Amino acid sequence: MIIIDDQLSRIVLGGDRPGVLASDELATTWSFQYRLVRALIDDRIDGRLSRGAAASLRATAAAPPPRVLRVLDPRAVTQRAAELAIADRLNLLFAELLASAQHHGATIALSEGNIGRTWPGLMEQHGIPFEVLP
Amino acid sequence: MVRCMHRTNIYLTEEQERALDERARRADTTRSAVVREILDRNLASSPGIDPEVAAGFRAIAEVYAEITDGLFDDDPDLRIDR
Repeated sequence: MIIIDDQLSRIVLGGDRPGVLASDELATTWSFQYRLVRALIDDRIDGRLSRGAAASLRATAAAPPPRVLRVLDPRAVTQRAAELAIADRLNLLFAELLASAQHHGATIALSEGNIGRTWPGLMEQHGIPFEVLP
Repeated sequence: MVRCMHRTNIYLTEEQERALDERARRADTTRSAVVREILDRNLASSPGIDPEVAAGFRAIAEVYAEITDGLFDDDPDLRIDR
């Protein structure tokens, strides 16, 4: 399993599976899904698409077909995420991501613009394989 | 490849049961294996993303980056400190 961020989720929902994403089950965390859905509720999206099309994008992002993109249940990692947040001073977004990768034995793939300053070091420290995609 | 499997019970009509058994006999396999093969084939061809919706996700590539840049700056739980 590869866990991806909101930007890569948008790309995957657009029908592309770049690079390393081509051959594995793809999933995202609830927090990254929230970022995606939140961004889609923006006037600039409605400005680019017809009203019906924008609504369809939001509905798909809110409930993507699991075969395309699975949304991981955050309840499975609540305790571990909280522990990591305290130990490594992480916010909810990254604590859930790290805990989910540990829980599912998954790789993390992030888009270039979505990498926190401390994230690569922490993923390495916790033994989580990760990829950065342009 | 070894697959992790879970036992489940389903109800079949007599006709379905006969057809499954016939196919299993011809393929020299089990009824369960035939059911799994049918499910795999069917699920693999199940609908994914509607092509028009997929095109919409591609069409917003640039504006999506603009929107997310700064959108969560005031939200410590969701922002990314680069």
